[in-house]
Amino acid sequence: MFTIEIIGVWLAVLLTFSIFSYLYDDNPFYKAAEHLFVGVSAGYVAAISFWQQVQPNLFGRLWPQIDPQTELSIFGKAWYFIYDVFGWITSLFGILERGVFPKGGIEGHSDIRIIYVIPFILGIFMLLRLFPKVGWLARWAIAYIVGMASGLRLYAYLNSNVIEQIKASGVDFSADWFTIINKIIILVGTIAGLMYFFFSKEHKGVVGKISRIGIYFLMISFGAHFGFTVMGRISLLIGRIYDLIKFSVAQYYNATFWIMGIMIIILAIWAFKKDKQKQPEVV
Amino acid sequence: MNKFLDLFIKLGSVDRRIIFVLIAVSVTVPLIVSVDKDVRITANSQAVFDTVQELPVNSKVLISFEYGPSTKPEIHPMSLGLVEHIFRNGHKICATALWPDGNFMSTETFNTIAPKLNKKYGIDYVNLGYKPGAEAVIKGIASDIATLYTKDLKDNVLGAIPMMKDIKNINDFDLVISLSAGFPGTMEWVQFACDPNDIPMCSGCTSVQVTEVLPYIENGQVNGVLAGMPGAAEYEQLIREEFTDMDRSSAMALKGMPAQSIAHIVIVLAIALGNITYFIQKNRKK
Amino acid sequence: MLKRKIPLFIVIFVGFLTLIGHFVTNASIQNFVDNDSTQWFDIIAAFAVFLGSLNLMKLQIDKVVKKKKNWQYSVIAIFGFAFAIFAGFFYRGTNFITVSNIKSENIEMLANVIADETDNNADLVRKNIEYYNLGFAIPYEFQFELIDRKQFLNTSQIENKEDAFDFMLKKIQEDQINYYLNEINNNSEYFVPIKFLNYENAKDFAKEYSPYYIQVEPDGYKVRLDNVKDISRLAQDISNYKTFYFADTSDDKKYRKLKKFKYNMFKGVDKYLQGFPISNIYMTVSSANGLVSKIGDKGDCKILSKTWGSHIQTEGSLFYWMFQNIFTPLSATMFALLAFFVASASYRAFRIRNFEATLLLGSGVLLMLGRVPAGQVISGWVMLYILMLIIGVIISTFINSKKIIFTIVTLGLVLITISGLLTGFNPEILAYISLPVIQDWIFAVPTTAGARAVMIGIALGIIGTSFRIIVGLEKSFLGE
Repeated sequence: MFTIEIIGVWLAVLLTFSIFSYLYDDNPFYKAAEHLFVGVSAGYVAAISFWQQVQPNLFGRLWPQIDPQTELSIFGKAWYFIYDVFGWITSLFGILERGVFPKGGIEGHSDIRIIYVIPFILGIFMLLRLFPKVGWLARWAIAYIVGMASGLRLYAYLNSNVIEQIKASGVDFSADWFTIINKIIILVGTIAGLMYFFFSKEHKGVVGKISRIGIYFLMISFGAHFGFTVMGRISLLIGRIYDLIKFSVAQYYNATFWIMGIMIIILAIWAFKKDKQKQPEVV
Repeated sequence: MNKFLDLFIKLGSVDRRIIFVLIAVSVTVPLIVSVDKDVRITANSQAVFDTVQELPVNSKVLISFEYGPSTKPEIHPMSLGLVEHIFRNGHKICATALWPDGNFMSTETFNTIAPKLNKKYGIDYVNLGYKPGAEAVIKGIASDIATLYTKDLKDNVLGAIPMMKDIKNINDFDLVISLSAGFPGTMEWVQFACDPNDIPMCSGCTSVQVTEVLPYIENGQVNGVLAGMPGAAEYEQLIREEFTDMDRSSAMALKGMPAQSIAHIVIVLAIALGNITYFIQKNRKK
Repeated sequence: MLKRKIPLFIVIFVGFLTLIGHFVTNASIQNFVDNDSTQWFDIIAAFAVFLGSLNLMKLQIDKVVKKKKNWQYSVIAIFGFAFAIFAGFFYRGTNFITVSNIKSENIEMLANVIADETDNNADLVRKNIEYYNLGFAIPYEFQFELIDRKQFLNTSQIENKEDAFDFMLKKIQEDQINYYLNEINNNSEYFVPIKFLNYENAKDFAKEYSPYYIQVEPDGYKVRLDNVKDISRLAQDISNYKTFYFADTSDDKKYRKLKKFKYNMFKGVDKYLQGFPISNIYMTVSSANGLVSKIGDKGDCKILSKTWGSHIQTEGSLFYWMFQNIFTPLSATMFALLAFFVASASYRAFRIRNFEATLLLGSGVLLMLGRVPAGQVISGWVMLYILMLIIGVIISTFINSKKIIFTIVTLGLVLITISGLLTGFNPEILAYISLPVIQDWIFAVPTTAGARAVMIGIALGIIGTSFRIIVGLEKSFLGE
């Protein structure tokens, strides 16, 4: 019987092979899968950000669920009236369930924090970028993000990536000779590498020689990076093939074999047709 | 002799699809045949293992899941290994995610390990879930978890979870582990949480990221790193040496290592072949 | 003004505020920087995510409307987006079944049905149902009750929640008083388990039950009583003092706790009244109905859904299904595809053109081989041979005569072979230059040096840019 789980497995295998089919050539399978990926991931990230951040941390602070017995002031009543209007609109005027703005407020926080109207407004400004006329308002929101990221990074990079690194480069001469030699090599390599980065003048004379050594260290480092990159990519491929092997068993109605077979046939027909279309041009 | 050299030149200009097929075969066959071989333990993996092993009794560990399905084969075996190791030693885990997909990865990890070791949600582990905001989220966790997370992944109000009663912020943890596949990840945890608050930290990261994290390890900002799938395989082997009742068939990364070996050899040979062709052609031009 | 000056002001203000937060110990600034401002950042970042998604869809819709090349594929992208939104906001799935009104004679059969459906242990399920059937568990740990230190209220007792709450408080009070009575009776010299902050308070409390001693502790005052007169009042006083269960409006902090307790208890009662929850989660109501019909008349079944928001990570929701079967294979395969291209690229483009390229390639190859099991068989002897060949390459840059180079290299190789034969190629002797060891050294020393240079270089760049942004020199983010 084809349950929703089996359908899912077949779909997964189909999409996997669709992407892999790019290895043969750019083809409709790949293009379709690629576009599906773009669409689904856009919706996926948006949904997750909404339910994990905006709903609990923004709306949840603006309209927390409060004890039904507490008496609200007139202002409070008006505030929750706005909430109910939102709820009414998001439930398509009462047709659907009130999911985003459940009745009585959002569970989690206990006090109303009106000040969170500011990020709400800035967030809306961000979305206004979609409309060219008022798009400039998004700059306010971007300014907040950029300003804060700069403030955070300035200190963090200075501390962890510069000061701590310089501190660590010191050589401890009480250690055994092997450690000392290694430490010296690291120190020389780091300084030489930085020399290469930061002397914007022509690399000549002593500076030139040192930065030349710097390049050697950088090359070894890049080489290792390359090796790791190959390693990582192969690991990911192993993961995919492992899944395909898992889905080839009878429990999933041999999804892998069926889809691979059908796809090869369709691709062959497609390639044959394309060749035929091309031939007149070549001749 | 010339004919022999011609053969090399021909080999050097084969269609790239042939290389594709070679790679596919070199990965697929060892996975189907499934060979089991021990791996060599590198200093870094040993350091991660020792850090976890030497945690004082009843420690609390923060694990952050910063990877998704795209890098799952590299990092997921590490998650399983680390979580199992931590649970078996009787410590508690609090999980967070800086990537949206991290939620699913953490859920899957706990669903695999917790029932097996009879660990209870809310008492032995808590899963806080994903928040967008990268560094700002880490900073939030470093200062006050309750303002950032009002509810956990399972929709429990944070105050109602027994384990969270004595956890206020990063200082209440004895170790932070970042399972990271890029930005935000290990680097941000070092910068915004562990360096400022002086909390021991370990990392499990994708191979691509290792060189980026390397300087942190050399000077002890990070205790150790599990590097890609081989790192995961080493960890799987280490915990199986420690806990002999664990069975080797569940070690996903160890299973992948033969395929990894052969694929690497194929690529190295391809590079060698490419260079031989290059030298022959260069000599002929002269 | 609005378009340029305000954003610039925001950047400078927020940037400095965040930076200052690292150094200043002013509580309100730090609180804002550590908590609220980062929260705002996170919230705005989430809106930025929405913007990205919507922008992408705008582009795709544009393609379809204008019938640009390959517009058919854009329809698929739009469909994918719509599907994800549907799964995220309109259809949550996550249906689960609760059973109530379970008669004790039906428990055994019901447990079997549920265990069968959920792949669970029937015994365990039976115990869970039995526990449920005991009634609503008072959320308090009793000192003198036997089943898990819990007391239960049956369905008729919780029909009126207010009454149930009062009844519950009474039970808790009884238990506390009994507990302290027991403590006091067992000790002739009784230490009151309360730390008083000042001497006067301690005295006020103690004088009612004279004679007393007040003991000074590092963090407060402790009262010792000998031969307490009014034991039951003391027990009640202590329990009043120590817990929030009996607070009135005069003690604001405790009273708020009490109200929260009541609120949570009411929610717990509502949840209990829903029935015994079965752990399986179904995507559609119709699939859940299969189990409902199997349960039949063994209990009253209800089909409920998980709350909105938690549905996105619950197995059994449409969103999770989409993640598992569409998002995962697509994103994972996209990355796996690169394995093939990395391989073919390194085959075609990786050439030893000069010394730098040799270093790059050498370190890459060593790493690839040294980190996998296959590389472990390459012993120091093999490395020695390779070393000899490398020496040959190096001297060839100094000496032009092919004859001399050839002789030196051959001599070296023969020497290695002879010493190898003499020792039986024992890998132990040359273990310190075996491939994995050399690889480890390259990884730990020169690679670290290079990586550190890169790290510091990038960091200085970021620090510079951040500084320029904060002081308002860098305005490129304004789109200028």
